[in-house]
Amino acid sequence: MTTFVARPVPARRGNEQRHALVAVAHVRLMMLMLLIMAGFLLVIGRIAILGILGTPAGAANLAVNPQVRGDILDRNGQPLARTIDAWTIGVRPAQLLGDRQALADSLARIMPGHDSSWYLQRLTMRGKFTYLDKHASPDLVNQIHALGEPGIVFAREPERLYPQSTMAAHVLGYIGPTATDAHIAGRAGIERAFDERLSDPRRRGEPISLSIDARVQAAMESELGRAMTNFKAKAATGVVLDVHTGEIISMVSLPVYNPNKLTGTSSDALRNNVTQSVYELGSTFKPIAIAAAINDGVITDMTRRFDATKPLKVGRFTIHDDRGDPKRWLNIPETLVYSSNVVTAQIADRMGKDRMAAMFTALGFGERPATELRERAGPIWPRYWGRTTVMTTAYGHGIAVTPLHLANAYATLVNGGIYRPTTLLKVAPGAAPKGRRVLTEATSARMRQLLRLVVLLGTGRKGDAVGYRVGGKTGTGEIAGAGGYSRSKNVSTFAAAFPMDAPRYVVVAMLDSPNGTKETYGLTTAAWNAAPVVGRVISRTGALLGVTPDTSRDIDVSQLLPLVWTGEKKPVPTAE
Amino acid sequence: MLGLAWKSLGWFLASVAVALGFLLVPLQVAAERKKLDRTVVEIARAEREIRALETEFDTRASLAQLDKWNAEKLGLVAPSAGQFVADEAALAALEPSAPNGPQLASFVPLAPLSAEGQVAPVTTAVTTTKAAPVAAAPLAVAAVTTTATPVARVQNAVVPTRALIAKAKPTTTSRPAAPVARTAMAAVAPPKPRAAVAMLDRALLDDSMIGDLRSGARAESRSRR
Repeated sequence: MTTFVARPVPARRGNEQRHALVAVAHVRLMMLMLLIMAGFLLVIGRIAILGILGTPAGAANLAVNPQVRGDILDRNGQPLARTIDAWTIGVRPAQLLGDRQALADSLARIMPGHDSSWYLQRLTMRGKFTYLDKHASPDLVNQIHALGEPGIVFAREPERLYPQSTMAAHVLGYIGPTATDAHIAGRAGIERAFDERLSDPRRRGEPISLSIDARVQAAMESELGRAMTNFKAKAATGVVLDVHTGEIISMVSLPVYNPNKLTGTSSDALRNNVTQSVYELGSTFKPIAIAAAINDGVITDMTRRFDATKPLKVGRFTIHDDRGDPKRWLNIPETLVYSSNVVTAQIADRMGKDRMAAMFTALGFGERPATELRERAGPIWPRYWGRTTVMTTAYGHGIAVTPLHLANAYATLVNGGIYRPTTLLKVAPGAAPKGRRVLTEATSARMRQLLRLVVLLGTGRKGDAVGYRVGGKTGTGEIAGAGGYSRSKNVSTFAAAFPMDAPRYVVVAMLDSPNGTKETYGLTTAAWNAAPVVGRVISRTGALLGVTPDTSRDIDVSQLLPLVWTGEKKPVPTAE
Repeated sequence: MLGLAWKSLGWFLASVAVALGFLLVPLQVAAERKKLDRTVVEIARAEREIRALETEFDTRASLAQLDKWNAEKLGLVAPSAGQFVADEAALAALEPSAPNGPQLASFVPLAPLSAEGQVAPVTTAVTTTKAAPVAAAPLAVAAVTTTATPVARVQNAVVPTRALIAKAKPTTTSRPAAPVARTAMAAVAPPKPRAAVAMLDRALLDDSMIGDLRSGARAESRSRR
């Protein structure tokens, strides 16, 4: 028997139903296609917009980043400021996986700049991203990478770096935002003066060559720094100047700051005392007054004597000499060797106001110092030129100028009498400015002899460097404060040039408010504190600057030597 | 009919080949350009790295740092006027053996020769340019070390020695004659058994060198006082 089991015939849909289904499917397919096409259009449109309006990836970053600037080099090509790619360490707090407290502890161990609570605060903050450290060394980056935390990220970002840290900080300046301007730009020194040139994308490839010699700058800073600590001075400045080109070989102002790390810098340290502070520089002005007198024919004879036996009374003023000075009639070389205020005042009196002021103007004392830096202070010029003003300015009181003014005046005294503006940019050989004649050759030659005599016999003895034929003049100016001049606080300066037989460099060192020490018998005069600094700087750097020390050569002072009275007993140079 | 098919196939293949050729040239160019770009990027990266390394070196060896090291350890001072010589004549006139003569940076006496050399170490700094090559004979050394002997006599003494050496040549050892004495500045010091070069990995300046520098600086500052 056979049984058939038949499948029941399904109920067949009607024809209309099928048609409706197909139509719905078509509509759906059409919509899907439209969607896909819209997606394609969107992508193509976006690409077109990017292609037309967009800039290449990274280009915006390069053009805008204000840290990317041109290099600054010293005169021998040693980099003083450059931009490098430094490692930065940042954190994305939301992506941290491990225990934050433990992580903060290990970060504090690796980077001891902050404590673990500071790091914990950074790790738990709500923001997307924050920096943990900039200027990180590759070694540090490796150590932190080894912690294996994916939330900590590393990147290389351009950073401005001053490899010599504090050296020449006042010359170079710094970059950054200010309280009122969030824009990163040069804020001091060369960085400020040449901000446009350094940040210009077309010109930042070529570095700026300064006239500074890093080796001389370092020697000057080290010697001045030692003197400043030794004598507990408030500030110190030093300048080395090329007398034939006006190039500033070294410019030091202490206290100094670190342009790499400005936080916590005092405003005292930010001030460039060489160009921004004016001082009454005391007896260093005497050679200038004497040179003016010789140049104008007021003094024609070196043997001419002036009365220094008693203080000079002018109206209600009295001009004194120091107690140790010889109370005699002094000739011109003796006036400088013993640094007599009384005689200098008499000579200035004979010269008169007009010629004195004309000389100071010719030496640039009437205007701000000539330099590219924007931080420049104008000198304090006497408002009223009375008879006493003429007398006191001749020995450096009643007129206040910057140390750079003084250095340039000495360059004019010894280089043959030509005044040239000082510059911080390297001058190509033979491209020195012509300058203008202030003194005659003969006056300049006489001044070289006189300045050498001061170092051989007078107050500048400690400023001599064997073989370098140094000549110069000390000066101890009293600081004017509220209620007159202070007897205990002074500004000690030694302005020198070398080698005197053919001068090439002027060296000026100045200490603000030095204290006496046991070695100086409690004295605070320049002969004891500023002069040795200059002597040591010259013996350290003279050969580097191309001056060969030679004990067998010297400027001929035999003509003036017999004129200087050295006394029954040799007077101790306690004077200014 | 068949020929026409072959012909069109040939045309087709030829045009494909040409098209492929045209396509390949720009591809090749693009690949080369890409390689060039990569090289340029690599050069730029290398330059940046060199810069970074230079800067790191400058920073670590900043002048202030060197000054500090010098103040703490070495105590070197600037050369004084007496340490400069004006010209070649003055340089030639220097007498290193004089009691107040210039101090040499380092003085390395002759290393003792092996047994057959038979030369006693000579410690005087006589300039023995002529006698040095023949120093293997004791006679010559004796003649040279007598510094008071007039030059002519020294030469007289040397000449027979030369003859003597010439005669004795077949029997002398093949070892090259050593110079009598030399300064460390003039020539490289003979390699010491402890192989100074191999130590470069561990320390750039080994202790003995630092010690030499320090003692030299101290002696110099003492003589200056």
